[in-house]
Amino acid sequence: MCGTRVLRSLVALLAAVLVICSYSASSVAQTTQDQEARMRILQQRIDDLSKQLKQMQDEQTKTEKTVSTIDKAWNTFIKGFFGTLDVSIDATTKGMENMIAYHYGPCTGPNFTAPCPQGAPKTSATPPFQYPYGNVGWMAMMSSNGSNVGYRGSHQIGKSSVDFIYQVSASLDMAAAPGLQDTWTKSSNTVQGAIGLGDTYIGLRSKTWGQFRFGEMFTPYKTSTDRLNPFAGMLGNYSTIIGNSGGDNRIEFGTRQDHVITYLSPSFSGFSFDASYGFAQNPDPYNTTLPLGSSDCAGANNPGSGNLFLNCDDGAWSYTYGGDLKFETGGLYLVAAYELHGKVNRSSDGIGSNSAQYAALPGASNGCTSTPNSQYLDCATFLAYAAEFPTLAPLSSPPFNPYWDSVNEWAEKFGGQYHFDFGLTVSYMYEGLHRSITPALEFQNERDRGNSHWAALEYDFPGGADRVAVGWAHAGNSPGDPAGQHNYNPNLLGDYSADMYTFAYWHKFDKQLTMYFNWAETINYGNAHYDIGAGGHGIKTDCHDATHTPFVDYTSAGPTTWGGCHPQGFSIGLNFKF
Amino acid sequence: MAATHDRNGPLLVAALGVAALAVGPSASAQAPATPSHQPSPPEVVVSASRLADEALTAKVVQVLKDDPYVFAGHISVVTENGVVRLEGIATDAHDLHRTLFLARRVAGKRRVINAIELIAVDSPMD
Repeated sequence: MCGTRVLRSLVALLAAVLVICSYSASSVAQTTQDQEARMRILQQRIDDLSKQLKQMQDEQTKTEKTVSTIDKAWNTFIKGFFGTLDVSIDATTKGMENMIAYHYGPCTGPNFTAPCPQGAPKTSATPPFQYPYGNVGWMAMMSSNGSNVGYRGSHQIGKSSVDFIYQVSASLDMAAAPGLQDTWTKSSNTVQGAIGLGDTYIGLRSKTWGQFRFGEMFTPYKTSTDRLNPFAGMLGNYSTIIGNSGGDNRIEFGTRQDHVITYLSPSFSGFSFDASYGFAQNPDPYNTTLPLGSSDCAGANNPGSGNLFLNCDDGAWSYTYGGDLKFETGGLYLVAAYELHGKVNRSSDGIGSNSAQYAALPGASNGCTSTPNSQYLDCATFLAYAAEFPTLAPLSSPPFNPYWDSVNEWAEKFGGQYHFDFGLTVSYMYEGLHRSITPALEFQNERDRGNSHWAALEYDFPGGADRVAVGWAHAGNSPGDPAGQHNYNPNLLGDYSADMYTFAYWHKFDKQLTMYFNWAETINYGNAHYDIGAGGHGIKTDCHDATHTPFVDYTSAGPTTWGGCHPQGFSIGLNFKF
Repeated sequence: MAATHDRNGPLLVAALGVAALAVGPSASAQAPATPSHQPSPPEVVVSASRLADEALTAKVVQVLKDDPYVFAGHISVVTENGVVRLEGIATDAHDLHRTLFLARRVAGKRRVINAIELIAVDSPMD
């Protein structure tokens, strides 16, 4: 009985277990199906979320790429702009307050040179006066110096390795309104401060063969030695003498030229070279009119500035060509440069000449009224003028014949520079200027000059914020001087040399803003008349006084130039670059 | 038992799937990024010299950037086969000298080519 009960109990338990298990199994199966369904839904949602997330990521990436592209394009565009803003306060003097003009008798030396009997001081109430006329002493002024803004860029041509390049530049006047400069001290049709007054060109560039540029720009003769000049844009700019034949404010070699092609080579083991060719494009055989397409005479100034009516006769050239050869390794830089100006017309150099040798040319002293007249004088033009202005002609004198006075001028220079690691930069350059005039007119040739030098020392103080520099330029002697408007001393004929000394101190506030101080003085010997500030400083201080006559004709209408003056000046300014 | 085993099978698969999903969408998102059937990208060989060139360029750029007084905003640096090439413009001779000096100092014995154009100050003809 007991065993039966136990057996029955076991069977009942087993049955119960089976019932429970079978119930559980069916229950578990049902639960699994539900979970699978939920998992599918969950998986679907996860997949949907993943897709949305990926879409968002793709959109974000696309947006970032777009923004990055725009930023890059904007940065490239902005970086194309460059420029300099520079204004200074100057105090300068022409250094000729106490000079006195004397009458001189006929010179008795060879070729009508010294000795010349000195007479009494000039006492005329009309020009030329005994003393320099006008404010020729210390004068304070504000000057905008080498300020400009430019834009440059490049454009790849297809998928080639050649780029189209371009630059547009504008010279800014930070201290005065832009416009023409037409007065008796300066005559130019070029609009100062206009877009295009600055290196402006288009061109082609390749890494393998260099680049060609077509436009209006400085030539290699200037650019190859710019780095030798710490005083660019200052009173003590080396262009006071370097490239500046005959003195005064205008530079002959180192100016920006119209319609010129330049070639710039790549570097070959440290060597590189550049070349330039300037089109003459002048219909007149003596370049007496404007080159086609230009607003000023070739070589600067407008027709008439040489005192011949509507003529470009004060340095107007025909074609030009030149080039340089450079070598650079480490801190060493060596350079040689050459440039030629074809058929430079300087026939106005004879106008109003005080030179005794000029007066000795047959026809010069009597207004071409006797025959035979000198072949070196343009008597035909003068007689036509005399017929039109009979009352003015006796006050005047005939110009040189452009046939004889339109000849080639050329220049060469050799220089070097070394930068020592302790902060000292040493620069030196020799220059020779030449004009192939006929021997009979050498007495008025102030364009031929050797023995000219430039030397500069520049030192960076430790830290890099401050630096100091000193410079010296020397102009060698020239065979003659036109003395057309120069109140010169005939007994000092034959000495046209000069020295310019300069000193500068710079303090940088940061990468872009600099304050500077500059002092410069030019000591002119004999009858030389070099200035301070030529070639970049906004206002030049020269040897001209304020004498003028109210008309332009064959007489000496321009200001009197006092050869032997000692212009000197101080300048303090701010310079910002971007 | 066999039936029970079969019923538990989907649970295990589901559990593994949930675990796999729990790893995160990145795993599933990354999966299609490297499908085995797609061609492998071209092999990029970065030579030691190229890395050295890029490092030298970066050092020169950084030195020019860090110098508190030199303005080299328009100058770019390229290094090829250990030769550093400086391109662009300088608007001041002193910036040109200083830039070249700093680049030479970083480059050490390696060559530095100066292709910087010095934009001269304006020189009105008068």
